[in-house]
Amino acid sequence: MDDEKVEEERRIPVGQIVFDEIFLWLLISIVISVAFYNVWGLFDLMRTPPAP
Amino acid sequence: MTLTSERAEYRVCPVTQFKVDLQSEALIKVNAVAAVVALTIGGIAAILIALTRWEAVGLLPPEWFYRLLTVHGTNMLIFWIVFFEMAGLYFGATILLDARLPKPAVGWLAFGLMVVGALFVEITALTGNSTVMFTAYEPLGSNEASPLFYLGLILFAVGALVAVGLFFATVVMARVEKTYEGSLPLVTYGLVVAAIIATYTLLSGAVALVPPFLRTIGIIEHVDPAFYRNFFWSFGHPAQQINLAAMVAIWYAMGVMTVGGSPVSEKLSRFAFILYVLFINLGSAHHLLVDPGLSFGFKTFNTSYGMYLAVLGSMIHAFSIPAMLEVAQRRRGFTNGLFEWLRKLPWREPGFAALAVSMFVFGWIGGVTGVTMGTEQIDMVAHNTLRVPGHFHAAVVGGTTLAFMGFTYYVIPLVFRKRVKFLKLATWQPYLFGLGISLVAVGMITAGIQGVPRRTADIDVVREVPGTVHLSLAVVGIGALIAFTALCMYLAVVLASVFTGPRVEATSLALVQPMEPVPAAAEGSHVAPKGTFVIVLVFLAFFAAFYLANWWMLGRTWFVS
Ligand code: HEM
Ligand SMILES: [Cu+2]
Repeated sequence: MDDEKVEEERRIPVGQIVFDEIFLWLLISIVISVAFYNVWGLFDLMRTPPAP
Repeated sequence: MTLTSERAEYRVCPVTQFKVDLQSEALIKVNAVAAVVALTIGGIAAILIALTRWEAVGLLPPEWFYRLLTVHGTNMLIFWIVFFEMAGLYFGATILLDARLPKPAVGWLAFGLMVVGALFVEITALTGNSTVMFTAYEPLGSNEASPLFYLGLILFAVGALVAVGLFFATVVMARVEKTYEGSLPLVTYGLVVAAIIATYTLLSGAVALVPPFLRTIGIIEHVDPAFYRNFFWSFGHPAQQINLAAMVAIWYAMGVMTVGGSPVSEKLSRFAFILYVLFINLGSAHHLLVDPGLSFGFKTFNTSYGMYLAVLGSMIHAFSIPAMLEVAQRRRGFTNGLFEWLRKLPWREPGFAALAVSMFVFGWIGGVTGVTMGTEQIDMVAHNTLRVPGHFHAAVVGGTTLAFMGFTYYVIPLVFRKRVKFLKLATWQPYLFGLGISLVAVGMITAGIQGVPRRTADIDVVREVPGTVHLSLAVVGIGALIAFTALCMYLAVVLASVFTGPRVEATSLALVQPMEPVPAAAEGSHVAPKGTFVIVLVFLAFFAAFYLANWWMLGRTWFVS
């Protein structure tokens, strides 16, 4: 990385850098949705005894 | 630096100065046309089923009611909306970023898959070979739906997923090739959020629909209905949140295009989008609130604690968009009292009319009823009543569909490069459509509160209902006639403009009522959006009153002694 670029990045606030990480958000979004909705829901279903 | 050796051809838009990749432009056009075709088919089905639910008319026999209900649900909720969103993604990733489309062939492949998939569904649905409605709940499909119906939906979802992948690739390439500076523009950011939600949605759709498909061709014997419902709703619910994110992105765009100004706080608006990314998919659980086997913890965590954080995101947008307009107007000098800025907005400009009506119907009818019904206890009396379609017609028709319609009026001159015909119709259309669909929604909601079930051609066979129900259902019918008229006005403007007349370059963004440019802010000056603040407080009071009234009604439904 050349100096100019380092300087440029230093001026960008951390929050903005985090907001710009779109693939990080893609990953987090899928993990949260799968864990709390799909996995939890399916886990509940598997613990349900079948009707006699 | 360029990533691939392919060369793109561009034109430069004379109004916006954006560079327009011609391949991307062609994909925007075909996706938009496919969307409008689906809207037409779905609209014809809409008026027929609505006139069936209006008992005084009682148009269709039950068999046709269900057949056309399937046609309506799939065409509107899936094909119209998703094709339009694909057009939006190409727009946001290329035109707004001055970027080129890395592999146009992939875009055409995606479009081809989606068209073939949609055709399979159209044919099986219209010929009565898949009268299972868009939810296709197991085990209903056992002998009802043809394999082509599932295959069609799967192909459509895969095609859309390919297009979403191309969208991400385009955004990354634009960054590498430095076609834009700094962070992504807010509108593109909103579309990125839509694409993030779409990835999860479309993957879930494939997981949900493959087992029933395999069943219909005899490879597996049985699909567990509860498992199906879990995966179906991680497709069906987030699909609406793609709409939400795309609609909000378009709200910002139309606000800037028709009124001017810029978001009061980019940080806050982006944070609100991030709340969607994190939490909005959890709301899927509100479709399962009456399902057996799911724990109280699962239901309440997902539909309340998680979901409310996403609702917070919507509230932030609902504040920051009007605030943006108010600040722009006040800078122009409309500073008298609380609301001069509001009166002096460009109410005759079709895009602004669509923005204003869409925000109102979405928030005040769709949002308020949705959050209320998504409460577990209240859903016990709302589930599967007409209240549910009442809520989502306000959201996805009065909100999303109307926003998309308004945006089309600008796509015509800027992308199709045609003059918009019948401007008078275009000015009135958002108001009429908003009125019609609000009547449909309010009629459905009040009928539902009185116990009328959804998805029934004839309520007399179902149960005793109070006489006032007939009034509610008549309101649905009358609203449907108005909304259908406005839908035809939209189609008339779009078809006449796109398919007749010579190609002309646009000369300005505004179609009817151009606004003065917003004067630059003086150093250190601060304009407070006081009027917006008052509107927001009134909204919150209405919201609270509606919510509490529903608990009160619930208390009158079941007396515990
Ligand atoms: C002219 C405008 C429209 C009218 C008059 C209309 C009317 C109706 C009516 C009467 C029903 C049947 C409700 C029931 O009996 O359960 C219905 C269902 C539905 N509508 Fe619409 N609608 C319109 C536009 C739309 C649009 C634009 C969308 C989506 C973007 C949409 C999505 C749906 C869905 C998903 C269903 C439920 C289908 C099902 O239960 O399987 N509608 N609509
Ligand atoms: Cu939902």
